[in-house]
Amino acid sequence: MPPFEKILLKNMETPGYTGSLADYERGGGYQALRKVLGKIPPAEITETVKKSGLRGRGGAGFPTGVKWGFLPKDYQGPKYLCCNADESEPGTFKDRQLIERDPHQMIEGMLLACYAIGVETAYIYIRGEFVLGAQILERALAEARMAGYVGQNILGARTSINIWVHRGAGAYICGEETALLESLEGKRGLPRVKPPFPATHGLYNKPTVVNNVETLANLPHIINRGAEWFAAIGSPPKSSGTRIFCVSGHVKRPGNFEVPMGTTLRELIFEHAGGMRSDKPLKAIIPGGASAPFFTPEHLGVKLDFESVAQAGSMLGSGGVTVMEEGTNMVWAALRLMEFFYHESCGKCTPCREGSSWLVQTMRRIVDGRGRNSDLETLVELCQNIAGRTVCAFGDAEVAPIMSTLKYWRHEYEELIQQAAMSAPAELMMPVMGKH
Amino acid sequence: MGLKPATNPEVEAKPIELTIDGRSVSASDGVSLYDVISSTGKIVPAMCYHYTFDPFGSCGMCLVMVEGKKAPVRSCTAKAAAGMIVRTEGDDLFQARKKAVEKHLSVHPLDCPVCDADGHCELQDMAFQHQVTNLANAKQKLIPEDTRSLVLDFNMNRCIACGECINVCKDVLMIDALQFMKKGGFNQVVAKGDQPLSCEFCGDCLAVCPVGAITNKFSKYLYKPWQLKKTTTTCNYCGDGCQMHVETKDREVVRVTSPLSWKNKWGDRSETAKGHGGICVRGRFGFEYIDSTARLQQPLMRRDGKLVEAPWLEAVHSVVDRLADIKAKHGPDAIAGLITARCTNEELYLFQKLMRVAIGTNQLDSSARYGHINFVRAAQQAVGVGRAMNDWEDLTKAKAILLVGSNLTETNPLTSVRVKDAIRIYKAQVIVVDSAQTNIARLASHPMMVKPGSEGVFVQGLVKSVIEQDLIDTEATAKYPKAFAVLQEAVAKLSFESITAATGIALDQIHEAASIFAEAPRAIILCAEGVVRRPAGYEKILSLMDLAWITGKLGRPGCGVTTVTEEINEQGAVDMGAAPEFLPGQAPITDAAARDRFAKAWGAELPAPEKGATLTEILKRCRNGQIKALYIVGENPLATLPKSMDVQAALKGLDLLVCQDLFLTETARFAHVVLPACSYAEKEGTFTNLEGKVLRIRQAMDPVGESLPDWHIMTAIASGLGCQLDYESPHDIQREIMKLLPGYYNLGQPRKPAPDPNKYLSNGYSAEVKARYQPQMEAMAATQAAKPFALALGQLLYHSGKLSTQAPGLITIAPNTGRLHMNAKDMERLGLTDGTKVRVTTAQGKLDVGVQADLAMLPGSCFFPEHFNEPPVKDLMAVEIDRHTGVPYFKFTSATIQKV
Amino acid sequence: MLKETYKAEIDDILSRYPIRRSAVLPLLYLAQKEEGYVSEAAMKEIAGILRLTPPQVYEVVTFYTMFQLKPIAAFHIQVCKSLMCALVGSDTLLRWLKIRLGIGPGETTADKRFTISTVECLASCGTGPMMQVNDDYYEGLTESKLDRILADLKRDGTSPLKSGPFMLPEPMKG
Repeated sequence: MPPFEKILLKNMETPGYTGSLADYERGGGYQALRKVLGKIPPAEITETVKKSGLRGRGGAGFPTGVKWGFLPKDYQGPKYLCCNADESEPGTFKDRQLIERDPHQMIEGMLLACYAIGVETAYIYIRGEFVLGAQILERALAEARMAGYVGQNILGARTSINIWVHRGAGAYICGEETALLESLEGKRGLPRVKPPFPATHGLYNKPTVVNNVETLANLPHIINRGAEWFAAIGSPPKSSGTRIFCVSGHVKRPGNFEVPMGTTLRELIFEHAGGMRSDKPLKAIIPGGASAPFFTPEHLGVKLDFESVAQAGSMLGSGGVTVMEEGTNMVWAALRLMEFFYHESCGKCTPCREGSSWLVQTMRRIVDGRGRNSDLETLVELCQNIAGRTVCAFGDAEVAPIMSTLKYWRHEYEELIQQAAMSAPAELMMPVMGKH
Repeated sequence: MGLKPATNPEVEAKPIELTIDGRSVSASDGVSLYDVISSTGKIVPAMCYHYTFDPFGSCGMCLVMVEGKKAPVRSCTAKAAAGMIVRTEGDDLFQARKKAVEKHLSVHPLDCPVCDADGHCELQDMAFQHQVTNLANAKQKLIPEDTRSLVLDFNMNRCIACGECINVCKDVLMIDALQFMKKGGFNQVVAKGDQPLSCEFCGDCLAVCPVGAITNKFSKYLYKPWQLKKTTTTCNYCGDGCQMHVETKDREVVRVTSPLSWKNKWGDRSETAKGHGGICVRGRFGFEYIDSTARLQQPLMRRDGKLVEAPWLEAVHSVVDRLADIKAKHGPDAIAGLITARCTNEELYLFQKLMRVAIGTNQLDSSARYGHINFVRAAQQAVGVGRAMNDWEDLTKAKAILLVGSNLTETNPLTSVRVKDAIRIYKAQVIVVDSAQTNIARLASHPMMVKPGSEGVFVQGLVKSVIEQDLIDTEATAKYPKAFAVLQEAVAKLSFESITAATGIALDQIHEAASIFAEAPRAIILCAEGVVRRPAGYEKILSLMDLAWITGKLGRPGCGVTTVTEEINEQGAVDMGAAPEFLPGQAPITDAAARDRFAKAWGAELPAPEKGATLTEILKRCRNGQIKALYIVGENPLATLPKSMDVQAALKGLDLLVCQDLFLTETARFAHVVLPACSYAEKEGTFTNLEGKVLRIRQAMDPVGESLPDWHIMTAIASGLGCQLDYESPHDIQREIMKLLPGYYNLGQPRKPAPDPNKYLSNGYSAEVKARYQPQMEAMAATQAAKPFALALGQLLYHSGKLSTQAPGLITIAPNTGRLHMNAKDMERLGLTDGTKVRVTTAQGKLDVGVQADLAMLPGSCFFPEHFNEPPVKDLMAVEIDRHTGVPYFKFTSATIQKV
Repeated sequence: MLKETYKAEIDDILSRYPIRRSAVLPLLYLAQKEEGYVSEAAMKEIAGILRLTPPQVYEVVTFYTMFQLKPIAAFHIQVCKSLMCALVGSDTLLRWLKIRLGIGPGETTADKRFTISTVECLASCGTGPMMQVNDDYYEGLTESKLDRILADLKRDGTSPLKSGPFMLPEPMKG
């Protein structure tokens, strides 16, 4: 393991670090804000972020500075920043740690973003289940307000920035940025039709930027140490910086690991996460949260950066790496994920709403030993007609588990179906109603 | 997606070229690709799309291939871009669309045999077209049918969650009565959570539902769509004149449907500025009076004090003989006539011809006299054009709308949808001046809740504000410096203190309203019942004209002063000359040239103008015995006018009262002869709506019983009186009108008059303007102190005049509660709860009546629907006759209210 | 009645948003805190406060899974059943719960103290199997740990075994 200085987790891994304002300041906190406030013009910060090559850490990996640049120039009315803390992608738990252990890091990041894009009101949309996280954030914001970092005329400058915590209430789709905005407006979290994009018509129809927690947490460091420093980390030019990978599943030492982008899957799993938990060999890996297609042990050499993972047929996504050992049934695994997507479909678009229900029904049938020969064809056909047919990217995400397991472990499907054919009497082959 | 650029008059969309199926197509940049494709006449299936609202993008059907993209693209949410190469056909697309249909069908019960939408179902059509045979995965949702609503049933098992009903309700109508509940596969449409539907009941959700999830209670399980005869005609309730389809089976009206339908889903969004094709609750569910069993089946004649059935021949002979007799004995001015503005143009024309030529009297009037004539006369006076100056498109695209005294969403629901569009799409500022918290006031950007009866003062305040804030259009005022000087002088005498005191509106709000109106490039004033039917209506309209003039809104495109009418053909009634002061074409009866022209055309001498009489004058002459015979077509003055008008005495004193109506009305019960007339569904003709569009009505069914169209009866009477008219159909009358009023039949196009204030401002203006701007606060304050409540009669959304009370569907939705509507706080103060009896005392008498809380009522005001006379609240109203126009004002008075 | 009990909170919440409607979720949380579920009356009241129609509140309530429309037990045990927890034994956890409490997902004990639901990923994938009881997370569950938690809950209404601020993996010592 080459020596490497962590960026985001460094503070919190210091023994005794509580995440309080005092602790954060002791580690150099809020220096970036002091450095820029009233001294460096906002546009320059956007330029710095653009130069740093920072890309969104929420899943889509869109360059952050470019996103900010889409806001209409010389717009006079209110603009908004929303911090997307609706971390709900199965396999991902990094934002929770960033929020609960070092809230000021992301608050400072938000303040910098607000300053750069001229926002006076920002919201942290945190998923409803993170009750503790919301409390910690509220406490941290209270501290920051007392210290004059948040509120009217921060640090005596002319800039005023207010940050509010807004709790979601249990809907995966609200992690999608337009659904998040709908939800924040007090409506059902249905994704909006794009364009227009939030940059021009966002929260309350005003120009809005939505950034992920980890993305924002990187900002103080970029400002403090410069765009060039950040751009050199990881695998530039397309994947600069570090990434927090959340390793779960059958490993010895599951958890969040901050490594430079471009680290291989092998290193992440076998060095950082301690390798497999038992003597059973590795069977499958999900490299980027539940929406990312599965990898096999052959992919262990894949570098964890945006391009390499995409080239290998999956996506870096939210950084949730799930490891499965030999003996895990892949049809069952895909069904578990599919059930998640079925449960979380918002119900707006028919291909996704009915398609996910149909997929779950078919998968369940196969897993329960009632599969039919035609089922594989049905699965493929269904999957092909969900992706790209919906308003948001959820449709593309939900077919990933089935399509990729079918690609690599088709025989497991076939075996289950074959067993069904042998065990089930012919007259029981009736259309099966869903259990809903 | 917000506004599509092409529809905004401010933004010129960039023209672009793209290729669709090998053909080059021009379009506007940024519009939905789907719209561009459909504009070429190609139809790509789409289940959740309707051109009246922004693409929802949920059904996944409208797939097309765009060059450069690997997978099919949903065309509705894709924006058309220059150079795009699009393919809309092909086996791959067919298969992909087929999969989308399968998904819709997978949760749809195949209960087509008992579904009302069978044969009128998009899912059926799509499944058929795409040859979907895989039905094995059908999953039942087992949601119980919701039959609690008064007019619609919701069978959500059939729902395909296309969201069209929700989108039309939310986006187009801004009612927002429906929404999705739950999520994922359990997603379903519900009304008000688990409450029964309670809304405006326009039924547009039913119209756009592409399957049988929302069904019409009136026609459910009666007939399959293909068994019904569909007649396109014009609604006869309000002045909006909506087009609609009356669907009949033999002699039964089964249902009414709108041009808005999932079947008409393709169109240019900007076209909705002329109307979105929907209809309102009255049009859709108020049709049952047409084939009601209460309709008159045969003529009735009074024998031994009782009305008994008589053959037509006998009845008409008797009418003709007695009219001839009275005319011979007492002269033509012993006869008078009243007609409803629900008659067709042809009938109204014929009526005035019958009265003026066959009988020879100018004592004739129509229901336009109840208010609309005020607008016509004021507009004639001020700008020489006796009608509303703006059409729906103007309203939709206005930047500022000043609504004075108009409960628009209730009186003219579809005109209000235009204002809603203006608010929503074109971001208009809407100033509502009213003394009730009406629906439109809640939607408006600037609701100005004035003290009851002070609308006129508020308008004066606006004029003063425009002048003193120097918001005047100097070009407009410079042309008439003398007139402007007089106006300035008159306005200077008013004080803002007294204006704010009288209206209860703060000065800065008045200034703000004035500047919004004055500065908008397209600004419209819309005044209605709260102006035209209340004291000094005529003068208030002239003040509004002043406001429009000095802000430069007269004659500028998209600007003007406009009104709406309560009955469909009030404009037509005036245009056809069914008023003592007007010959057809609004030619003044005193105009010698016009008299000559019509005398020549009709081959008869015209009665002397000075002997003419308006409604109230006619009733007075009946009472004093001058008039011996009254011919009433569709009017019901006894039930409409307050007791103090003593209509009963007027009717009782007559030698002959002939009533021609659909029903045996209160007035008809006093008649000597009652003639059964046809409804609009049983005859042909035209109506002129508030935009000045001449709209056809078409016969949808055979006449009920032995009833006959009004024109037919009038032709017979005229001929009997020796005035040979050989009209064999309304078309013959039409031809005659066309000759006399060239261009009147304008093929359903709105009339775009050119208002010209020159004559008025150069002549009589100076003399009268001073009188109009007299401060009248003291008198108002005095009445307010003595009788603290303002009692108003007015219209409900669910009713129109008295006619709609004959429609059981509307009565179910809005029965006569017999209660006075009051402000909740007032009720609390007086210790009243819903149903408590109060004693209402006015100068005219007292009455005990129950009360109910109404959110629209402001403190100090109360309201009773004018459609009902039980209890007879109308009899508490004082009547004031307008000295200029003879309009009887009786919708508004002061009262005291005490708990009994 | 929300208006009276939580006047200060409501004013504070409303002050955070330029548009009242945004306060729907925060106010629904208040209502749920007050009664343990969101009642019809509360929805109507919230609609009144935010100048919405009751259906606009209703449609929101039914969309989000964290709002209860009916009263539920004092302890709402929500077990994550997503793949990551399932890989490390969430199904076993459910079986344990069934043995200990005699109920399965969607059921409530006769004494109305426990309701079990299965939920989707709660972002504790590295510490599965896990469950959330009311507001608190309990992670890295084993049979004995679960027994202690249940005993604590029954006795004290809470348990010291609940998760504090999240940190995983613990930093290497030294």
